[in-house]
Order: sequence, then C-alpha cells, then structure tokens
Amino acid sequence: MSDRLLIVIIFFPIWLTLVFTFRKARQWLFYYLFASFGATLMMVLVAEYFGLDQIMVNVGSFHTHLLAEALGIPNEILSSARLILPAAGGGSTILKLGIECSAILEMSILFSLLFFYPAFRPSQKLLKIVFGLAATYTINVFRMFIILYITYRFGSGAIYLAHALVARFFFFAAVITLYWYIITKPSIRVAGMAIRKQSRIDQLTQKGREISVIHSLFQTVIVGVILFLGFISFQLFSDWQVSFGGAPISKEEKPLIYLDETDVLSPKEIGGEQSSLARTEPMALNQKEGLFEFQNWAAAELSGLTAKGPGAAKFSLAIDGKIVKEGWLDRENQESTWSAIRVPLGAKVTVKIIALEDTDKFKLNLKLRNLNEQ
Amino acid sequence: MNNNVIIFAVFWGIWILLPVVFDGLKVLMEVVTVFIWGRDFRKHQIPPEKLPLVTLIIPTYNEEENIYECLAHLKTQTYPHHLLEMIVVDNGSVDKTREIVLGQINGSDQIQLHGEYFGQKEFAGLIDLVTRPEKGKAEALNEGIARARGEIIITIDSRTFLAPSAIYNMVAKFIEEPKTMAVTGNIEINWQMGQDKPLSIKESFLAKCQFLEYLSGFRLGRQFQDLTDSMYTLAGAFSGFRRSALRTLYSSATISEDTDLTLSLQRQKFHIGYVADAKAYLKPIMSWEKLYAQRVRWARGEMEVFGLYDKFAKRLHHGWGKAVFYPLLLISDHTFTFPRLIWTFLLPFMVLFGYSFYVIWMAVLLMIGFYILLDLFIISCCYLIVDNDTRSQIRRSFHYFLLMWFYRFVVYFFRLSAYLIICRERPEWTVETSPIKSIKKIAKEFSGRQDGGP
Repeated sequence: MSDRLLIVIIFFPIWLTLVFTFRKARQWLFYYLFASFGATLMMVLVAEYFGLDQIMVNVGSFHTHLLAEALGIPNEILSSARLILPAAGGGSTILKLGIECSAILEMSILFSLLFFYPAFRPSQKLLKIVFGLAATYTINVFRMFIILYITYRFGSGAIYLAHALVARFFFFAAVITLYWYIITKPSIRVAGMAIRKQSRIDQLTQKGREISVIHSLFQTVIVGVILFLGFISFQLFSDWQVSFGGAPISKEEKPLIYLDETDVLSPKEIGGEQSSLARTEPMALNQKEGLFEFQNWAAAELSGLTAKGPGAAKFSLAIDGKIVKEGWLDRENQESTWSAIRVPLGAKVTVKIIALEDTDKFKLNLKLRNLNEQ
Repeated sequence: MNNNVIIFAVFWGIWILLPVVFDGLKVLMEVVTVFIWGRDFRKHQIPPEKLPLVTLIIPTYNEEENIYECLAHLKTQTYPHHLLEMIVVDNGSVDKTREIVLGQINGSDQIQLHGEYFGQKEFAGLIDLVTRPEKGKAEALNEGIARARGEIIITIDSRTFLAPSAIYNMVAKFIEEPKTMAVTGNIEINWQMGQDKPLSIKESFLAKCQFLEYLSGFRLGRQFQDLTDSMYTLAGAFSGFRRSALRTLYSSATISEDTDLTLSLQRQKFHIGYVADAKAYLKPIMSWEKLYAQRVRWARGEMEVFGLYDKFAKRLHHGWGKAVFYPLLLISDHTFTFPRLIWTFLLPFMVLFGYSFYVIWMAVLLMIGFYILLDLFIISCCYLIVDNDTRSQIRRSFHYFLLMWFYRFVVYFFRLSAYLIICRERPEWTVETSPIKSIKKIAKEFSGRQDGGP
C-alpha cells in the first residue's frame, strides 16, 4: 500500500475526532481550519493514489483540444495528454500537460472550503459544490487554452510566460470571481438577512432564508450545460481514447491511422533540405486498402514517393482530402517523383495504398523538403 | 535564488502572493492619489465670527482609566471654549466613571496631564453628564444627539485623546468645504500615553504594529477614500457631522454602528471626508484577547453592514468610487481569506508532490520578503506626508516593518474567525468562544499539570 494512502488512513480518524471536538467546543476558527485543510490534503492524496489527477489532466487536455479546434487553432491530441500544434516561427510544439494542469488541488480546496463553511445549509452547499467544481474545471480548460494560444501565436519561447504568468493570473482572477459569487456574495446576503430578522445565520428558517431562486436556477443550468457538453464531447469524438494513451485503435476495425509522435515532423527532425517521412517498419497492411496519414506542422514541399517491396501498389496522394497524385509503384518503378507540391501549414497529407498486387506489405517513403518558413 | 524558487512562488504561492500584490497596488494607488491631491498643509484661517457652536458627545461605560484624560484633553482645545459643549452619556457604569466626570465638571483650576500640571484655560464651556441605565453605544450617542445644541456634532470615544487643535481643524474643514456633511479625524496610536513603566516585548510589538497599521489606514487609506468618495467608516473614535446630516441616527441593528451610519449617510449622497490635521490619539490594545475581540467586531460589522446595504453598495449612480472600492474591499477582506487559508498550510506539504524543501521554503521566504518590502514602502510614504510629531513616532517604531507581516498574519486569522463566528454566534462585545482564551486555558492547564497540579 502506498505510504500516502497509509498517511490518510491513520490521519482520518484523528482528523474526524478533532473536527467534531472543535465543533462541539464552538471553536469555529480551529474547526474550519482543521476540517478544510485536512480534508483537502486527504482528498488530494487519495486522488493521486487512484490516478484521478492523471484522468483529470487527460480529460482536460482533450477538452482543450476541442476548444482550440472550435476556435480555428490547428492542433492534434497525442497520447497521454499531449497536444501538438504549429508554433509561430515554424515547426511545431508539443505541449505536455502535467499534473499541475489537472486543477485537482484547486477543486479539492473549493470542495473543502464550501463543505465546512457554516453559513450555508446542506442543500445550498451541494449545489454550490457541484457548480463550483464544474466551473473550476471549465476555468482550467480555458487556462490551458490560453497557454496553447500564446504558444501558437508567439512560439514555444513564450511557454514560460504563458504558463507561469498569463494563464496563472487568468486562473487566479477567474477562481476569485467564482469564490466571490459562491461564497462572499451569499454570505453578505445572509448576514443582512440575519440582521433584518434578528436571528443567527444558521437559525434562519427555511422561509426566512428567502432562497434566491434565480441564482439557484442559474447555477443548476450552468452545471447542466457543462455536464451535457462534457458528455456529448466524449460520445462524438473518438480521439478521446488517444488522450488517455490507452490501447491504439485496432487495425482490424478501422483503416490504419498513424498519428503518433513518430509521424510528426519538426524542422529539427526533418534535418537537411531533403528528407523523407519514413516508416521504421514497412506498413503492415492488413487490408488491401490502407491509410498513411500525417498532418504537416512544418511548411514543406512533397517531391516524390519511393517504395520498397515485392509486388506492386497503386497509391494516391491527397492534401486535405483532395487527390493531387496517383500512380503505380512496382519492382521496376519503385520511385515516383514529381515537381514539388507545396503543402500548406497544418494541411493533412494522406498517402493511400488503394491497391496491392502480389504482396501485402509495402514500405513507403515520402520525400519532403522543409521550407523553414514562418 | 534560482528559477525554480521563483516559479514555485508565483505558480503555487499566487494564492498568498497575489493578495499582497493586490494590497500593494491598492497602496500604490493610495500613495499616488494622496501625494498628488491630498497634501494640503495650509494653516486654517477662519474668522472667529464664523465659528459655530460645537457639541462633543462622549459615550462611556466603565472607563475610569481613561475618562479623566479624555476630558482633560478636551479642555486644552484651541477651539474657543465658549463655543463648546460636551455631553458625556454614561451607560450605567459600575466603576468610578461618573465620579470622575463630576469631578471634572466641578474641578479645580489646574489639570494634571502626563505627570505635569497645566493651568486650566478659561473654560466657559458646558460639560453635561447624562446617565442611562441600559447599555448600548448607539442609543447613548442618539441620546447625546437629541440633547445637542451645536451646529457641528462631534462624537468621540472616551478612550480618545484629542490633539489641541483637533476640533478647530475639523470645524475648519466643514467651513472650507460647505458640501462636506461628515468627516472622520486622523486617529493615531500613542503607546506612551499613561505609560509609567517600559513596555514588555509583547506590548511593544502590539503597540507599534498597531501604530503602523493605523498610520497607513488613516493617513493613506482614509485620505484616499475621501478623494474617491468611497469612505467606508467614519471612525467612532473621532468623527464630526453637520447637524442637518444627522436626520438618520445611529442604529443598534449591527455591531458596528459607525459603519452603519456611514453607509446610511453615503446612501443619502452626502459627501464624507477626512481631516488629516484633526488628530486624535488612542492607546493601543495591549492584549491579544482584546485585539481579537476588536477585530472580530470590525469584521463582523463589515459583513452585517454590507448585508444591510447590499443593493446600495453596487449602484453606480451613488458614485464610481463606491461601486468600485466597496466590492474591492470585500474581495480583499473576505474573498481572498478562504483560498489563502488552505494555501498557507498546504504550501509546505507540496513536498509530497515532488517539490524540494529548499524550493518551498525559499519561496515562502520570498513571499515574506515581499510583504516586508510592501510595509517598508508604506511607512516610507507616510513619513513624507505626516507632521513632525508623527515622524518621531515613526522613527521609534520603524524597525517593526520587519515584523508587520507576522502581525498581519495573526490579524488575518482574527478576521477569518469573525466570518465564521457571524454564522454561529450572537454578536457580543467580548467573544466567549475566542481561540485566544482557549489557547490560554490549555496552556494554563498544561503548565498546571507540569507543576504537579491535578
């Protein structure tokens, strides 16, 4: 058993005893301090033990990818919460989203602060907690988007500024606004109510509370919308599996999709002027039709296709779905060249084997020239 | 200090650092505003025939330690004595407060102050003692207001000692600015008053930190609020009103009757100001328990009053100053309090998430350093705009800027305690469930057991 889980197991009964003792003794400062801090720490340790933080960051990276796509910023999601995007100045950048990006700490803190805060009744606390957690998660997605956007606009050199300062300040301002809305504002309201009714806050009757229906409705609607968007995003997009870095999509089930790191070219990886996108292994086509696809993150020109293998294959080369070249490669003609075809930045290049003869394997190399453009 | 420390401090410590930055920006704003618009050191030249009758109202309850000195300072005022009336409203004191007041009314020709004797100035003013059997500061003040004859009504606490020209300077503000309906004076902590013996370490720490706190709170804070029309509290210790402004009286609905009245006047769109040269001195609170009770009252009062005036405080047509700075005050005092609580204690535990002790502790020291620099900046700015008396006090307490961060840290917990107590406890002047009392009790029991007690 992890030593952290052991800490939690030992600490929990002590914590519970002290929380009840302070509460009974009406020592509200010690009660709140001990209860909220202890709960936060235990939640974070338990979440880490069960891998919830990694799940959160994977889910968050996926939603960030969707948001960026929706706003027209080209990016793709790779395994284990990595996003790749073209960076200003040429080339591409891979953003690896770490545990700090999961917002699990901030969400645990919000939960604890609300749960033990004595101004609200249990039903109000529940609504505020659900709303607060959903809002914190959403704010975090926007925070990651800001980092992505700044990197896209200003290059990978701006990541430090984006991550440690700009996005962090945004996150802080947004979360403080959230705290204002769900803690301070209602606290002031009930304090005024208690004065008018000459009562203690916790003794205000159900009727005396004058629950703000509009606020409750607003929060319920927002939570509902966020949960709904989250749900349908999982249902509609199969990429989410990639973000989790789980088992790759079965080759038997779908056409081959190669979209992992080895396919991605950066100016550094391309190397000299002439280079090629190559497979370390021949394409193991299980079907006669296969798909060899990559997205171009560096400005480049395509100038030819070479092949190695017995038999013959008919290929088609498409850029963003539009076929630009077709031809046969066989033992006699194992190279097909053409005058340079310019590939726009972010375009999807697809080389498809549309027919095979006397073989089921073909090794393909696509000739590229890196233009090193902005 | 390497990059990791700075990154850690900014990334994780933002919850503690940014409120300080927020306060720092607020101070910067105050300094710039005050330095540009708030430095008027002209001597007042009011023709004697324009000086109005002034009523001073002093509510008291068991103030035998302070009431003599309070009235003695009033008697040394430069304001024409024939234009002063003083009404002491006693809330059923059970100590010698009444006897001392009566002694002042019928007193001898000489008055003793700080161990020296002063010839009593010709005093044709009237001191009236009103006794009320029930407690209640708001009711006591209202009783005094009902009896007042003056055009200007000044309320002071019985623990307040006015500088000789305080009343004159306050009245001058009303005459020079006809639109001003109410003002607060400049409250300064004076730890030397009534002190026969040297201060202990604890007393020195509390006294000088309070001095520095009040210095920035009044000389910068209140001045800024005057200039931006966002005055939040007319100090109960020393404030003045035009009679016509007091159509609304003090209310006992909340524990902070002074804040309540201030917002009530603001709602009526009265201009409320601050008088930097109307100085009043307060003795510092010398015990943690009393300081705790005071800060709980203030914080509780803040929540209660803003709760009562919730809708007003947000309306722009009452003035942009209020619409902007009232919410900022609440964000700074209340909203920041909550995440700061957890992060203060969570930061050291970041070692569980892979950060080294060195990085964490260096980052904590960096944040403390930031607080210290901020206080140094505040005190230095104040030094430039205060009078010579205050400057000498600053010189005597200057080195406490190194410890103000700790003082503010403790006061922050007092404030948080208030926000929790308000949910569960009835309002009271002293706080039964004070954590200070509990800590003392535990310490006493522990030391009792160590001495072989039961």
